[in-house]
Amino acid sequence: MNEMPLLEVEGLQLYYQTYRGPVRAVDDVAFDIERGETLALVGESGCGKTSIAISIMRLLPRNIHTYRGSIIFDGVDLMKLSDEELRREVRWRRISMVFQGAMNALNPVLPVWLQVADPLIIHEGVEKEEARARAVEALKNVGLLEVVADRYPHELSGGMKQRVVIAMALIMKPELVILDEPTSALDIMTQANIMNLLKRLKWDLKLSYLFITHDLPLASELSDRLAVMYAGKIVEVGTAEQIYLNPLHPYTRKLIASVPTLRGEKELEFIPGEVPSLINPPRGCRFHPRCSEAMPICREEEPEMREIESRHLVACHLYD
Amino acid sequence: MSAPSLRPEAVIKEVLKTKSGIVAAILLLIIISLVIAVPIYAPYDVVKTWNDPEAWLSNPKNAAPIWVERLIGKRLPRNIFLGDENFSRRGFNVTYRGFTIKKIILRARFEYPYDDFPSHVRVEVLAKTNSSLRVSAEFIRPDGAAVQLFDETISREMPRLSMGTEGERFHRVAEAFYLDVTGRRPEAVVPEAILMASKESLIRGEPEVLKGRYALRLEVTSFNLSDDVEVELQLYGRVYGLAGTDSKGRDLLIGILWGAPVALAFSLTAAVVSTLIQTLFGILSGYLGGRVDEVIQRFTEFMMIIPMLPIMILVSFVYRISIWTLLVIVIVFSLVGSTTKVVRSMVPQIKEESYILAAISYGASPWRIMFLHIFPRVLPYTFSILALSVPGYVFLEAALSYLGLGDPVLPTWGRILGDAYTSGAAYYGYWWWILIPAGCIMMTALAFALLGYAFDKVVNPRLREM
Repeated sequence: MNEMPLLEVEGLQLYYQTYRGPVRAVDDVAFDIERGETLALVGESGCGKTSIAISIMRLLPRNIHTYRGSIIFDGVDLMKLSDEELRREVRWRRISMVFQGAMNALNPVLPVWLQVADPLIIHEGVEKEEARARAVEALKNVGLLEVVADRYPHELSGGMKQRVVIAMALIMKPELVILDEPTSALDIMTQANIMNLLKRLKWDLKLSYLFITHDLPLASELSDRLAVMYAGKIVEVGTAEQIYLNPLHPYTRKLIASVPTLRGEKELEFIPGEVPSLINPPRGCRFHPRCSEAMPICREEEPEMREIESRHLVACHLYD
Repeated sequence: MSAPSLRPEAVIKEVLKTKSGIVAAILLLIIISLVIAVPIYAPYDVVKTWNDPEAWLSNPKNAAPIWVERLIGKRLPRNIFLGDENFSRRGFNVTYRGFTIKKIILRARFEYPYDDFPSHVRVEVLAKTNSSLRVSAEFIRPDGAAVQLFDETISREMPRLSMGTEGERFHRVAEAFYLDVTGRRPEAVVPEAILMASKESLIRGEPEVLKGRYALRLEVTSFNLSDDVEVELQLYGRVYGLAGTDSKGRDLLIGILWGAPVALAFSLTAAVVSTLIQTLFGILSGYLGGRVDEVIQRFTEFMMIIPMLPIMILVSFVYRISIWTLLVIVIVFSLVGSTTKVVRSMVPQIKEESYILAAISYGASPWRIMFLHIFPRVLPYTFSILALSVPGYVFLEAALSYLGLGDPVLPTWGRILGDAYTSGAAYYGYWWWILIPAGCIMMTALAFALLGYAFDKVVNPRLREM
């Protein structure tokens, strides 16, 4: 087995240009994903999770201020590839993505099979019949019947649409799939079905996932490791057990404490204050205005990532 | 909320559920049946025949449609045509003082049951002789009175004798008959009325049609035994066909029927092509944005300000163009327009939907995204624009033809109207010549306007409540 991780992100920065100044959506982020591993990226809305996904895919909007760092995928720095190389060699062939919001992820005026097969038609130039046949195969693989192929998106339920989107992401047999809130618009039963499907596909196809979610319990379902993000930075990375059983960062602790559990009376906690502006983030640790354990140094100095136990990293002055 | 279903079949089904959609469909069926009727009613080169004045000689001029009879409750005269084959002929030779003379008696009868006089009567004799022969003709009325129309010698040099009620000869005959019956001179001589009126009514001074069996009897005298004549009698009616005739005797129904495919072909082609091209420019403008957007939008504004009709009048006036050249010019002037603006305003929203982002991420080219993903999304909305733009093109073509600047050879509704105008149809009260083509133009415009309204209701759900 290759020692090198499948994906290694180092010093990634993505700033958006606005009239009021650059928005530091992703600020100096580093993480890696091993082959066959699932890394969950957890954080509140607006903390930069999706920005990381579009940085990897290089699906940048027009108003980019800064885009730098290194994204090494299977030994190749994606940052150094041209747009055309990235389009032809990487996107969908090796890294594909399931976009947020299953309801709008399909074109309402095109039949399902055409949308599932469109990447094949573009990249491999396959004929219509073959494209349809392979789309049907992909649909069967995600637990859909062949009749779905000729349906239009409005004729499908939310769960079916999500399965279609997953089929579309897997049609080129990629190695890494970025799942951006794949179940956010679905009810809890459908959510469970989709999670089981993703697990099965991961085993069957030996996939790696970058699983982006705001839902901490859901992250535990699928992920081997978790990265907790706050205000454009990763504050804690560790295995699922480490994060759940021994959360180190005060933000992670609060996040876990705010999740309701079925067993036992539990006073739900919340984090006072609000998410800081990413245009003008607080000096020092970005969490310090809301942190109950803030120290004078937190206001002055930005904490470094340090490894507390094996593969468990945290950026907090409490552990200096 | 999921996006509404906007597939073409579904949209058409929805359109047919609305009241305006049903009315539009019925009107369109009528127009299409006009188109289908052309090869059945006029299975020949309509364009050539229409412009050939010879082809319409046997039709009454300015005749009203036949169904007028039902409105006014009178039987109006139809065309009565008696050709040579309708004449019975009796020939015999008379020898007199050593000369043999050939005599031929020709006779034809016809029934005249109508409540009004014919619009025109014409008698034509063609002599087949090497030298000359003498022909006399008698018009025999149902009351037994025989009026001699002429008694003339026809020579080889001018073998044709033609006598129409507009001519002097018919006037003299009629005047003499009137004098004979009433003992006074007529104030105005209308030969077809005097010769076919009952004597009592002539004496009263209010000519009424004498109904019954009329006959024309000719007597030919010749010294040459091989001589012969050909005779024709035509009584022109006052009603003709379903749409009447114009001042040249042309059957307006042919023009109306032929006008339908021309109007549809012109306006639909102009509407479809210009709407599609405008849509494409709108997509380009909205999707690519930036400088492309700026150029397309400013150019669109420029083109929208240019007044189309005056330019068309100028171009047609200078170059005398056919309808198809006109179509090309119309399309050129409509490459960008209001549809470009409408589509341009819809694309940025569609562009942000996640399937577009997905398409970009799996490597679809901008062209593929514009044509495969965005074009079918905006297409249903352009249906209504398309349908609503058809009346404009119908009117444009009609307006140019009306001004005499349309196609010089094709019979179109606008050209029929233009002919009616130059012939003073409104002044003389030839209403069918104006109302029928104008009605067709309005029906086509209304059909497409209603269709567009129905489409609008379906694809624009906020209007559905109305």
